[in-house]
Amino acid sequence: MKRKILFYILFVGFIIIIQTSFDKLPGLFGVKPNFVVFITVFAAMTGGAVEGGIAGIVTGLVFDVMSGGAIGFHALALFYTGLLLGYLNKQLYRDNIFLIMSFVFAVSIVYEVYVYLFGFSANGMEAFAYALKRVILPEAFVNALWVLPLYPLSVRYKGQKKELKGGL
Amino acid sequence: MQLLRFFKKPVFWIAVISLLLLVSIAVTSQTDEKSGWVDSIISVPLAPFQKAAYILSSKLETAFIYLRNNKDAKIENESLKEQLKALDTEISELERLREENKELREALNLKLQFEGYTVIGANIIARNPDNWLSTLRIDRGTKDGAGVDMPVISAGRGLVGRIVSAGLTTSVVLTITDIESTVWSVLPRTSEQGRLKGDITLVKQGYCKLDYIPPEADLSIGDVVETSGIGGLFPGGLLAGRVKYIRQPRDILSRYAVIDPAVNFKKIDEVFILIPPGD
Repeated sequence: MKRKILFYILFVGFIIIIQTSFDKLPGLFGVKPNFVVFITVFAAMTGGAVEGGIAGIVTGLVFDVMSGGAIGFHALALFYTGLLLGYLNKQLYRDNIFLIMSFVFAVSIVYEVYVYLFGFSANGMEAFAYALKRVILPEAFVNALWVLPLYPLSVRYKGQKKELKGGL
Repeated sequence: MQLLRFFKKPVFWIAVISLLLLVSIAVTSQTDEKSGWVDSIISVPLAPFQKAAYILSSKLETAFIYLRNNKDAKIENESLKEQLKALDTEISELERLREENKELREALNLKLQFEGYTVIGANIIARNPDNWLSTLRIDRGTKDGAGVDMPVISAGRGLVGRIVSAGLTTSVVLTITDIESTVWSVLPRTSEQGRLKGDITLVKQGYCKLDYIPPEADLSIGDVVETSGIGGLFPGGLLAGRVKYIRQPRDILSRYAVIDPAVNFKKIDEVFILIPPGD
């Protein structure tokens, strides 16, 4: 348990640093991936709904503080994302990378639509159409592409977890 | 006993957590409440790592530019390439020194321009964490005198934005291109006023929007936009940018200008906080 907490602290810290420091580098399709969503997806995929929910809250809170916005805004979205994904994973997960890519794509869209609706909806529907085309969909696509290099890591982590459980 | 069983149900904990987060959102959406100790708990230990990662990303950016240039240069003669490289290094070094000299001179002048304000320099250590925001994290916090709503400018008197969250050692700056930013501005050429606002369709290009322009206002491409001083957050006379182009979607009332900010937020690495008198 202690190892897992330490792992997540380091993981969240690392992702936040990456997310906030590499803005100068060129992004794919004019957007940068949202690695913050990844932590929640990773936790839900490898640990289930409870772990996904907790990871979502912690990551979201750190993200809220780092962005200077209302504290709890992203945490609430990621909390439900983690819970839902953990639950769906239990029902559907068949170790299929394309299924995970579809999950990440869908989750990214739902998450960013929430951010737009509750954060910037005052900008109107015209702006929403622009945001959907230029931010939400490209970001969801880029996030899904990042599953390809990151998926083997989660499989390895899950394998290690099973080994640890088997050994106990 | 039944009540105890209810407390153990996941739905109870989901409801409690949701409620707590909603309360937190309600409390911290008030500007003054989101700064302080919560920010410090997370930002203080992260700041040195962010600073290191930011420097690394800047170096990587330079390497990318170098690689791109190098690819083109392969066509040229080898000896010329060597010569050019030597000259480039010399020129960029001279440019750097000239820029540094200019920035230091301007930094010194700042103190004279904003009488009453205390000016403190700050380095950018991180940038906006997602694709929506246009924020910067700087290495100055409440222990240095920084606080929420303080104006932030560049060495060239260009308006960067204002502090929206201040921790012990770091602060978050909302730039003028951010969707949530509003700055009351003036066009010094005609003395017409308008509202400088971040726009979702312009933020990625690094531009912002000047609206609420009176129908009779004379507006031209290239016009300078400065802060008007209305609202009390920003002192008047800070250079916000220039009119890039003018748009009129429907009638004259809907006319707005797209503003190219005086500060290039992608390139800037150093800023100055204006601490108002009495703070």
